[in-house]
Amino acid sequence: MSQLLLGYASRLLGCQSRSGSAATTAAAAAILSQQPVRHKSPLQKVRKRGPFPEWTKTDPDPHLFTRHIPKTDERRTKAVRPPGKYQIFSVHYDPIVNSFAGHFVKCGERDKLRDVFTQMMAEIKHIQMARRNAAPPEEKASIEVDPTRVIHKAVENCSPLLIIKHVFRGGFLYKVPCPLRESESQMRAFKFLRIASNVRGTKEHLYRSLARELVNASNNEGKAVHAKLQLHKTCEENRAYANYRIT
Amino acid sequence: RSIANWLLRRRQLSPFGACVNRRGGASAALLTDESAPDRHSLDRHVGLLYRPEEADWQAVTRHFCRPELVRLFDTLGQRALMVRRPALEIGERLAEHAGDGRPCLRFVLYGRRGSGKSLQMGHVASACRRRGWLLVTVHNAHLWMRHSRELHESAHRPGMFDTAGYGCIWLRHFYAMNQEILPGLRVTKELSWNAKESTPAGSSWKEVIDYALARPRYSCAAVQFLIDEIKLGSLPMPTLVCFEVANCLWWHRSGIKNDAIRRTPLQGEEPPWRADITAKQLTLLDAFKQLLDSDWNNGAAVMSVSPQGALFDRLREWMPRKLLGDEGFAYLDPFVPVYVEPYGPAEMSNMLNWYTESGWLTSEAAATDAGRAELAFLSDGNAGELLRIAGEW
Repeated sequence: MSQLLLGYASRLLGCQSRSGSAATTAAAAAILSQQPVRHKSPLQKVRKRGPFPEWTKTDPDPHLFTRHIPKTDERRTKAVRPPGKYQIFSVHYDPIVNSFAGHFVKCGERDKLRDVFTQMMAEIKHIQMARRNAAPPEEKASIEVDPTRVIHKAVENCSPLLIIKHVFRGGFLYKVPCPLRESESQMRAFKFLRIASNVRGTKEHLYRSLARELVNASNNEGKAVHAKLQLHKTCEENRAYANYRIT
Repeated sequence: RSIANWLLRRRQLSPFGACVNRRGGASAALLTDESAPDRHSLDRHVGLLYRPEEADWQAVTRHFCRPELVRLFDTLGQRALMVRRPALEIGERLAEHAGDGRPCLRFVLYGRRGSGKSLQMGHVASACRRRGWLLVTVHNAHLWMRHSRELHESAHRPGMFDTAGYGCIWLRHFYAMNQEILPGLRVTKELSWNAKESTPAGSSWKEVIDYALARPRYSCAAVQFLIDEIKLGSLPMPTLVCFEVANCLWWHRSGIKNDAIRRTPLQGEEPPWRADITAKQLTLLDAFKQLLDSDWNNGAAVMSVSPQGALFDRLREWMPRKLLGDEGFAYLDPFVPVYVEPYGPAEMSNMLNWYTESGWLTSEAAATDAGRAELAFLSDGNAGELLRIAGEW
C-alpha cells in the first residue's frame, strides 16, 4: 500500500523514477504527512435542479482542450445545458432557421432537408433580387434580400399571440382564447408556413413553394399569414370565454 | 495557453488560409478586361475572372454552364467566369495543332463532379470559335440515354434506332452555334434520304439542315451525313468536337427499353422481351462516337468524363479508366488526360470576393474571415459546391 502511495506522490511531483531516490522519498513523505483532504466533487456544490442557462460562447467549448483554464476558474464547475444536437458553432448559425428546418424533417432525414433548405434560401434570393431589379429606385432599399432576415420576418408575421384551446365545461365545448409561450408561438408559425407551402402532387418542388410562401409572409400576404389572422379573428369572436381558460 | 496557440497556428497554416486576407474580410475581385478567350495567356490571366462577350455567351458558353449558373448570372445582371490552367493549356496545343494534317487530337477532361470541366470546355470552344473553327458540341448525351422521346427503327442504318426529336434539337443548336461559318460550306456528294428523295452534291449545309428540320424522320440521317463530310477532311477550317459526359457512349444499360419503339406489331408477333437499348444501337450517339475516333484530319476533340453520367455501379468513380471501362478506354486510347483540379487558395479567394462584390453573398458572416474560411472548408475547393453553398450565405 505504501508503495502505491509513494508511486502516486512521485507522479504528483512529475518524476517518473521508480527507484526510491532520496529526494523523491523525502518529498513523498512530506505530502503524505499532511492531513488527508477529502476531495468533494466540485459539482456537488453547484448541482441543482434545472432549468440551466444555455451554452454561450464564453463557456468552454466541449470540443477544445481545457487544460489552459485554471482549476479554480468558475467555468470548470459552472452548470450549463449541453449544446443542442444540431447546434453548430458557425458564424452562419441561426437558431430560428435551424428550428424551422427541424420542423420539416420526415423519417429523421435531416441531411436531405439541408439540401432543400440551401436551395430554398437561394430561391428567396432570386425572387427578391428580381423584385428589387424591377422596383423603382425609392422602393429598392426596402426590399430585403438576405434569406435569413426574410425568414425571421416571415416567422414573426405568422406568429400568433393567442390560440384557441377547447375546454369542456357543463356539457358544452367552448373555444377559449389563451396566451402562448414564445416557443409555442414560433412552432405555430412554422406549422402555418409548412401547411401553406404544401402543393398537391409533384407539381412544384418544396424549395420553390416554401420560398414563395416565406417571401409572401414577410410582406404580410399569403396563406400562412391569412391562417394566423383567421386564428386571431376566432379568438376575438370568443373573447367572452377567456376566463374559462385552464392555465 | 500553449495548446490554444498551437490550434490557432494550425488554422492559419491551413491550405485555405490565403482566403483570409491580411486586412480582414473580403477585398475586390480580380477581373481582367480581356473578354476574348483566345487572347488569354498562361502567364498573365490565370486565376482572374473575365466577362464573356454577349455574342460568345449566347452562342457558345451558355450551353456549357449549369442552369443554376445561368440563372445566377441573369439575376445578378453580370457574368464572370474564371480563367484556369486546363483550358489555357488545351487552347495552346490546339493553336499549334491546326492545319497540320495530323490526325484528330483528343483531350479528356476529368475531375470530381462540380470541379468545372464543362466550363473549361466552354472556354476552349469559344476560343476556337473566335479563331474561325467549326464547332460540334454535344451536351446532353447522357440525358438522351435516360429519357426517350420517340424511337424509330432507323432506315439509313438497319438494326439501329433513331431519336428524331433529339436529332432536330441538336441540328438547331448546331446551326445557331455556327451561323457565320455554315453559309460557306457545301456538301461534296449526293445525299439520298430514301429511294425517291435526295439532295444533290454542291448544295449548302443549310439546305440539308432545313430539309431535316422539315422532315424530322431524317434528322439523324442528316447528322450522319454532316459528320461524314467533316471526316473527309476537306473543310476550309478545322473542326472542334466537344462532347460532355463522354462515358455515356459505352453504357451497357440505359433508361430506354426496346418496347418503347412505336410501331404496329405484325400479325402473330409476340411482345418483345424488355431489354435496354444500349448506346451502340442509337444512331445519333454512334455518329458522334465516330467523330471521337482518330481516323480523320484537320480537327480536335475535347471530351469530359463525369460521374454525373455514370451508371449506378460507378457512381463514386471519377477517374477516366474507371468511368470509360475497358471498351471506352481502348477506343479513345491514346488521348491526353487533363485534370481539372479544385480551386487553389488564390482562386478560392478571388471567387469569394466576386460573390461578395456582386451581392450574391448577403450574410454579414460571409464577409468576415471566419465565414470565408468556413465557405472554403465546406466546399473543399469544389467550384460547383461553392456555388450551391453560397446560395445559402
